[in-house]
This record gives sequence, structure tokens and C-alpha cells, in this order.
Amino acid sequence: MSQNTGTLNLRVARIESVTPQIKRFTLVSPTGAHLPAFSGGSHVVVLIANDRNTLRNPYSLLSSPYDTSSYQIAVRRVDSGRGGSVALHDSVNEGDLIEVTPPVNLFPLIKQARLHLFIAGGVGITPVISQLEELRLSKVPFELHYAVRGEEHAQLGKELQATYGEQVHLYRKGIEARMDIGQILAGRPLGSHVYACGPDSMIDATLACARDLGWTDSHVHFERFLEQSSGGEAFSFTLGRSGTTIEVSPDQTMLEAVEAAGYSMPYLCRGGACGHCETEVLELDGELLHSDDWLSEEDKTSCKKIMPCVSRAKCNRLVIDL
Amino acid sequence: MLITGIKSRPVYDRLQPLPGGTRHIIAGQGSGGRAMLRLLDEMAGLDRPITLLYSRESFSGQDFLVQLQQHPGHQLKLYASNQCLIDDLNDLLFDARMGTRLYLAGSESFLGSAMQVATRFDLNRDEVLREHSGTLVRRVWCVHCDTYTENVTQRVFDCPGCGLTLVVRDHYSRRLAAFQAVKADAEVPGELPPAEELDT
Amino acid sequence: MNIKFNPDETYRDDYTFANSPQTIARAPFPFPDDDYMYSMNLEPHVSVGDGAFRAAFDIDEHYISECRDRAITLEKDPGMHYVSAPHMMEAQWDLLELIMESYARDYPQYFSLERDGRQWHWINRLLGIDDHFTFGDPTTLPYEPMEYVTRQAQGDWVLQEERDGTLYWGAGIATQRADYSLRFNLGMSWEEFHGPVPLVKEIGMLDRALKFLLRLRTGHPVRRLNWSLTVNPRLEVSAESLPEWAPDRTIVTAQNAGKLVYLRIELQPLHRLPRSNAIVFPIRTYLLSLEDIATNPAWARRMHRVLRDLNQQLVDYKGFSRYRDAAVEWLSQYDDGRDSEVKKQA
Repeated sequence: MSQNTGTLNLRVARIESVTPQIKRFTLVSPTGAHLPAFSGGSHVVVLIANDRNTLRNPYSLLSSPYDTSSYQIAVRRVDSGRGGSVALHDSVNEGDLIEVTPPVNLFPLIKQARLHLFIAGGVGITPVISQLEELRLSKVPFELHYAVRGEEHAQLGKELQATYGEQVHLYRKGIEARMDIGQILAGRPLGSHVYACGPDSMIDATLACARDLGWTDSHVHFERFLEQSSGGEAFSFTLGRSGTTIEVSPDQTMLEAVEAAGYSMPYLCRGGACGHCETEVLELDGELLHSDDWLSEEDKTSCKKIMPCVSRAKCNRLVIDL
Repeated sequence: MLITGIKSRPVYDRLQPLPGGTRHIIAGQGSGGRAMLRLLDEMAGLDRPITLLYSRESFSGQDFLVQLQQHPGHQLKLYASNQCLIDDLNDLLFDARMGTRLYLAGSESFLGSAMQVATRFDLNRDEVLREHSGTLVRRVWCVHCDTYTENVTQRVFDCPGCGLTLVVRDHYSRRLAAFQAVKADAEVPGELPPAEELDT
Repeated sequence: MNIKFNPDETYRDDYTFANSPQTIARAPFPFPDDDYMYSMNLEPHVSVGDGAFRAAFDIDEHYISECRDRAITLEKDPGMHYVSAPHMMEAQWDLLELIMESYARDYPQYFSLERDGRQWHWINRLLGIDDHFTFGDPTTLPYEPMEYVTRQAQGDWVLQEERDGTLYWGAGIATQRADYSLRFNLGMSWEEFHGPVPLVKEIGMLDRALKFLLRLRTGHPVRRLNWSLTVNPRLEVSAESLPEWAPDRTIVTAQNAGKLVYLRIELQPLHRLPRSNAIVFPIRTYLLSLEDIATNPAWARRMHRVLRDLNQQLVDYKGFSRYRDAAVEWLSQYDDGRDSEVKKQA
């Protein structure tokens, strides 16, 4: 059945420094129960409260999809960000409780592949680790090519070499030669898939090499690590009939915010597809951010209608007919 | 009345050069040769290896061998039957590399069987095109006895496997590469749907 | 809450199947309005009340008989009613875990699941099963994981894999399927297996539904209802066995329709599976005769109107063209023409 709250409260069982900037956190259920299963490449969003609001940082799961007695994430400290990783590094200790969302997978393995090639850099190795765990049970061959900034950043890579042997190629800056993505992708059999996860430059280089070699988009997969979270920015809107202002937090949809304020409105699928919650826009000073599959292109551009169960707005004023 | 008027044919493509390919394999049979030639014209000046496979098996009797031989710059492999071509295609794809684009032209039965091979090698929609040509005679699968019948042109026909009179449904299975047929007079024995030439 | 199970009802030959009043009352009546057309009737699958929507996967008094009927069907035609593509094994384990966890949680009096790492102990008191096996190791089970667990589950189950921006049939157990062939449908894409369904593409529903399902997340299942009609409470009405059950369409009259015509309600609680990222489509079938329906006057009145006014293409596709009029005439005795008590939601 549907889980009620949508977040998990987990205890930090262990924190290890694996590189000067990366800490690995092991998270368990406080009751010792098993955690929800997931597929390789999934991430969880960690909710970090700071003075003004709650930050939501996504982190890939490193652990095995087949052993859900714990989750593992690796957090790279970023001083120039909004402070989420700094808070995790500096303020969280073993034994503390943290709140995470259940795993979501936007970077899954392609099950029909005849060969998996992983190109990873730095902390981008994290989703690959759980994907490799998933591949252990499959007979499909794979290779991992992993670049790090030097010997002191190589611990995760060495652990993978110890587990998977020759299938792991480590490129430590200053020690091994530079990773030659073109050479890695050249001459591969049909049904090969490449997964790139790392800095933008590495992903862009992978996309370019793949294209040059004639790989089609359906065989190239990548995950960029962004600082901002899923969800959205807070905003407010007005119920036209009562004049009430409703505040929508980054974690809520408009529909949920309406309900939280004690009102009810029509809905069915709560996923932007069925049309039940379609609502007229009476006034708008700003833009609507449509995320639904119900409204026509015309309706979306005219901004006369909105689907409150999934869509949002960036505006000074929004009044809807409710 | 058993429903047969539901339309759900596979939707085929029009062959055109797929962007970014580093090697092109063009395979066709019978009347599919016409589409192959048109594609070759559109690929004129393309500086990439092109391999042509052509089967002269043809329900409609069309043969484009002579015209295909006018392109001596490309390797041309000939086959007397569709099955031979498809077996060889399997070997070719086994050795092929990423960057290959596959183009298929011919009867529905040929396209379906060739796609079974392409799927084995995880070729996706951005790597393979299929153009239908010639007749729409159907390969039909009898749901009751598992027999395949080639070149079916009639809506109602007798199954060579189990002897039942079957009606051909407009529903196609890519895995079996055939249309489904069920007992035509399942409700009232002897009460058959109207005989009809399939839209071929 | 304990259920009184019927141990040996038959769904063929002598058709001893019958519903208790409780089973009729709790059935998920599929008509929200007096007229019926396909709609995006997906809603979050949350536990509601004490009836068919309480559990993740509902069980009723027919559980034991239905499992027996499944076993008979599987025995009769090996390879026809259960098929799985080889690469679906991971999804099969996902499904086994989902069904066992759900049944053990929602019906602890009938099922238990104990786990020690990968060593699992499953007890099914209703079927007298007590098995130890290793999760992930198919050699420790008497059947493939999906066949093993669905032989102990009510309803059909289809696994769809997500690939190339759409969904494909990867595996299925379908001993209750209505006029299709599992072997034929295996490997079809979303658009392909919906091919025979009239109108659904034209009204744009097919694409919307697919987009919605591709966004389905683990832990947030959705449910929808579908329906059809059958003559006699026969579960196995596959395309393969058409000659066995299709002749029954000719014996329905306005007098016997109440006894012979059954509403086939399909409850589909769709779940995303965690490791394989596949989606499971369960098809949980409830069979109610028109006489059963008529024990609820509001239902009979509504169903009369739905069948009377149903688009002919849907009638033809659902296969009851030959006896629609007889069924409508039988139901008309319950329709006094007044307005429905349950108004359409604005």
C-alpha cells in the first residue's frame, strides 16, 4: 500500500572518511527492520534543516539492492554550496537520526544490454557502486573506468578493484595515463550501453565521443550531480473564491498545500494525468511551471489553466478559481 | 459475431539515412529492392561503408537484382530465400559494432522475422528502420494449435495444422512475427464471418 | 476478521461457484456513472475501509477454489498460461517479495513470512504450504519464483518492463484472461497490446496513461477498475479455448440472463517493483451474476443503463454483442427510470 509520510527516519550507524572530501554514511532503521528495496542507480533525498528552511540534497545509494539491512551514501563536502553537505560533514554524528525520502531511480541499468560500460569521475562513482552490485547476479559483461584526482582520492576505486578485479580500470591523476573515452567506446559490440556519472566536462566528453562513434542516444545514459534538489521553490497563491492565501513549501504540491490548509478540492490520480483537478487561472503575474500530461500545449502556453496536483508557479501573484 | 474489425497493424517507417551512423546495413527482399535503391540514392556521397543483403524470394515476383548491381561500390550479398538472409544477418550483427544502422525493406513476414534478430542484439528505434513494400499477405499463427501459415490473403481460411476454420484478427505479435487467428465459428458452428480478401 | 472459505467451487463444467452476500456487498462496483466510457480512472492505491480496498492484494472466500482452478488450468496446458522471458528473473523475485510481504502483513492469520538474511520461511495456512527457500536462488523453489508465488495468489499477474520509453510485456500468469493469448502478447509494447482496444488511442488516453505509469514510484502504487461480461462463472476464457466457452454466448435469454450472465470486475493495483524497475499489473477478478448485482437495486439500475447505452464498439470488443439485449432486458425490471442516487462528481 501507499506509504503515508513519504520519508524514512534513519539512524546513522557509521561515518567513515574515504577521501579528504568524501564521507561515507551507513544508515539503518532505528528498529532494525529492513529498508525498502531499490534498483542500482537509485538515490535518496536527505532533508537537512538549517536556520531558514529545509535543504533537500540527493545522494546515490552505494549499497547492494539485495541487502537492505542498511543504506550507504557518500557525501562530498562542497564549501561553496548552500551548506547541506557541510552540515552533514560537520554537524551529524554516529547515532544521530536523519530524515530521507525512499529511493527513486532516475538512472537505471538497461536490462537488455549486452555490455555495460561505466565512465565515472570523483563522487560520480556512487550510483555505479550499487549498479555493479546489481550486475553481480547477471551474466552480462561490464567494465568500469574511474578517474580520480590522485592517490588520496582513490579509496572507493581500490575497494571496487578488490571486489571486481580486472573489470575495474582506475585512472589516478599523476599516476595512470588520462582516461581516453574515445578509446573506451570504440569497437564495442551491438547492444553496448554507456553510463556516465561525474563532472560536467566528463559527461560532455562522453556524449561527444559516443556521438562521433555513431552511438545513438538510447544507448547513452548519464546522471549529472546538481546542487539543487527535486521539488521546487516555495511560492504562494490565492484561492479566488475566498481570497485565502495558500503557502506552498518546496516539499508540497499545490493540492497538498490546499489540503493542509483545511480545504478540499477535486482530484483523482494526483499525478497530472486524469484531468480531475483542472483549475482555471484567474490572475497571474509571473509564470506557471506545468508538470502535467493533461493540458494541451495551447492550454499550457495560454496559462489559463493549471493542474494543482503536480504543477507549480514562479510568480508575484497567482489567483485560481477555487 | 467474433470481432475482427479492430485495426492494430504495426506502423512501418519510410527508409531514410539515420543520422550519425558509421556503417549501414541495408537488407531487403523481393519488392523491397525498390526502397533499398531509393535509400542508396539518398545516401549518395555518404562516405561510410554500406553492406547490401538481398533475397530474391518474392511472393509478388519482383526482382531488383540488376538495379542493385549498379552500385558496385558497396558489398552486395545475395540469397535465394528470406531465411538464408536472416540467418546471415544474425552472424553479421554478432560481429557488428556500435554505430551500425540497419534498414529493412520487404514483406511484413520478412520484416517481422528480421526484427526478431535485431531485437536479439538490442537494436533500438533509433538504430533500425523498417519499410513495408509489396503485398500485405500475412504470416498467421493459429492460437489453438500453434501452427504458422505463410502468405495468407483471406480473412477466413482453414488451418493446415488443426483443420479448424480460422478468422484472421488484425492483431500482430512482434515476438511471434505473425497475426493471430482464432476459430471463425466459435459461437455457432457453421456460422462463419463473411469471406473477405485481406487488404493486401 | 476471519473469512469462511469455499474449498472446492468449480469454475467450469458444473459451475458450483457462488457468492455469499458479504462477497457481493464488498465487490468494487466498476460503474461510477449511468453511462460508461474509458477514462483515466487511476487513483492512489491507499488502504480504505474494510472491504476490497483494505489490503494491498485482496483475498476473499474464493481464494482456495481459485487457486485450485489455477492449478487445473496450468496442468492442462503447460507453457500456455504462464510464460516469462529469461531476463525477467529479477522482476520475478521482486514480485515474490511483494506478494509475500503484502499477504503476511494484511492477513497475518493466514500467511507468515520470516526472513533471516536471504533465508526465507513462508507459511500459507490456507493451502497447507510451509517452505524454506533462499531468496534469489531459483533452485530452492519447486517452480520459478513468479509461478511459485502466483499459484498461491488470487488474480492474474503481468510483469511489464520499462525500456526505450515504453512498457513491454515481460512475463505473466494468466489463467483468468479474457479472450487474449499470453504467448501472443509476450514481448508487445504498450501500444501494441492495446491495439485491439477500440477508441482508447483516439481519445488520447493511451499516451497519458503510459506517461503516468512511467512515473510510478516504488511505495506509491495506483489502482484502477476494468470490467467485462462472461456467460457462466468461468475464469479461463482465453483466446486458445474460445471454442469451449464461446458457444455459451448463444444460450442466454431474457429469462435466464440473471443466472447466466456474469459481470467480471477487474481490480488492478499497479505497483512499481524496486530492483527490476518493472511494473506489475495484477488483474484481480470478481465474478458477480446479474442476480447477484440485483441484490443491490442501485447497482442493477445503474448497470441496466450502462449496458443499454454502451458504445457498440465496446460491446463488440468485450464480446457480448450476441446477448447484450437479453441482459439489458433482464436488468430493465430494476430500472424505474428515476435519477441516480449517486450524482456524477463535478
